[in-house]
Amino acid sequence: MPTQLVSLTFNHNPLSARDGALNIRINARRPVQLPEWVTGRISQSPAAYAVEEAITSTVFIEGRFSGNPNSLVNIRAVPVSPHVLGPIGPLPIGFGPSGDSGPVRLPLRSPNFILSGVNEHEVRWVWSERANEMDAWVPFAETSHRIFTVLRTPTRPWLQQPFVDGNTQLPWADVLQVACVWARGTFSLREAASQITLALFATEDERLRYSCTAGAPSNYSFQDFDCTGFLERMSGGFGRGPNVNCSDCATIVSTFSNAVGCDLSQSRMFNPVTPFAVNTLQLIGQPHFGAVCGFGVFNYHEVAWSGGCTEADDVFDACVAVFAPAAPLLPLTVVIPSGIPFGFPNQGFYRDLLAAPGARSICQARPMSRQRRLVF
Amino acid sequence: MSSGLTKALKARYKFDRWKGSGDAGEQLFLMNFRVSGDELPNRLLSTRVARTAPGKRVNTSTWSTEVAGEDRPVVVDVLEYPSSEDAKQALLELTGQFHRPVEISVDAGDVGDVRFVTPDNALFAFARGNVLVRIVSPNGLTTPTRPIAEQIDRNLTSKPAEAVSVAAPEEASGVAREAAPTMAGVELGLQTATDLDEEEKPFIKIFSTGGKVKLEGDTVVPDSSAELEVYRQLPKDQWTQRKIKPIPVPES
Repeated sequence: MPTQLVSLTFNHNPLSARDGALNIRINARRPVQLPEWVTGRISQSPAAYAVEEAITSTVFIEGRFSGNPNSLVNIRAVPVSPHVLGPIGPLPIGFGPSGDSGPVRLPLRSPNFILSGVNEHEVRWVWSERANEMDAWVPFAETSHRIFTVLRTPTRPWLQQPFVDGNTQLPWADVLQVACVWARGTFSLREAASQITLALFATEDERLRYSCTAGAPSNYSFQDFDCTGFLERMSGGFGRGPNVNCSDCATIVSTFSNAVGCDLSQSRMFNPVTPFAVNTLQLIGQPHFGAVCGFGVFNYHEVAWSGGCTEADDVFDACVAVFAPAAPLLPLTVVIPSGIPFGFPNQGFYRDLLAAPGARSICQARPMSRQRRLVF
Repeated sequence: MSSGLTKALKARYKFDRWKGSGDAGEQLFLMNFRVSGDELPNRLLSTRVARTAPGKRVNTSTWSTEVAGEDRPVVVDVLEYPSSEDAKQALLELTGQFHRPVEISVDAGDVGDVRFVTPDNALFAFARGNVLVRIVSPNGLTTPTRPIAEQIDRNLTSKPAEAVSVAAPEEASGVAREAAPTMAGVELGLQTATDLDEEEKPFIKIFSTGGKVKLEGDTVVPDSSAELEVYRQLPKDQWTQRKIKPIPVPES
């Protein structure tokens, strides 16, 4: 009986992301199937690795093989083209009386996590065997896998535990797929969040737009985040339609950034008594700079915000483009605010770029409003 | 929602005036509501149901009518909460989601226990019992929201005329309500278990008099004095009805 590959498990240890893949699911409705790869299965599941955790120990995948009963072979897996997980083996595999190898640890010999950053990879291996060192390698399988690499273990709203089918807050592969395109090739958390902010603002084909209709209410993010609707929208469906406001943008940026390891919250700036005037802005999906909805005021504004969401912490705002530097200096460039401290009035930071000069003192950071909306 | 914002919204929208709306007379408690489509434009574009927290269920759908080759969509969210108080709190929170200033007035009355509508009529929201309904016409008033709100409210509050009456199990067993003040959903003949797909769970309406009903975890908890009328939807729009009366505690 020739050697056959039965299954491969990337997430073999749901309690740790150091020696294996992260706990993920496909989307709100579908969990991943473990093992992620099973011979003959039509729909194979993806896997994701957190770079910061994976580079600190030996990562292995778990394989299962079948072959001649009571025999020993050497196997190896060679990348079809260079990829993040690198080669496996050669290493010996023993088969029991039934021809089953049982679960076998397959250490990654030279993975390339440290140079992968945030990315989506197509990993293909050719699996070969030989009985003796002097024999030629004989291929017995070729496998293909979708692998995501993120900078760190995803943070809330994403959870790692409990790893059960009913936990819809496990990171979604469908979210990772979008986030890894938006933040592709980034190696720092700030860089990843910034790229996600810029990518959201630059969404094309009228998929998303700020609309003044009905008071510009939150469309995707009232209480919880309709991430399923948003993904549907991004893949060409209707979802909940194109309209978004600042809360929606803050929620999308933070949720997608946190999927790749950032640690951002959604938090507001406002004055409880009065709206605040803003500078001339270009809103997401709108072609020009102008006064917001003809009035140039916000009831509140919400952004993805780092740390404790205070004046000293950085904001990532995909809802607006602003002129920089702030008045009274002459505007020189257009900026989509990402990774800029909120700041105090007249420091030249985000608060000054957003709020009109006379309203900077009432556009106040409200860290008590910070939250991370659950996804559904 | 931060306490500062909550306080400001309560003052701005006169929360004290309407927080008790619907508390007099017959009370309504709903589980697993589904939009039938009869009350909406004819084409379903998108739908999903999720349970995002204990006792909280979101049913969202997008519908469209095609007029002269143009889609006129409307988004309908039906959010179920553990209690009518939670639903009104969510309505208050909804008033804090307007990014730009908009004049709205939250009023008790014609639709729901309490409702508001934006001046352009593109967003209509109401709370009825433990449910918050939010209807948005994303392209402005190309699809009128009020008639949809009125129809959904009628669907929520109507008592199925052809319901088949069945005996209440606790009456049959003679268990005094005071001895078991909280009743598991299964005792009421309700499906609260989480092992069913959300979309398979039956729509249930509980009308109560003399007290309220709320959800604690997966347990339906009526006030001990509440008289219940429980309707449960079966396939093909058939319904069962149970009437459950409080059972006096025997004198010792």
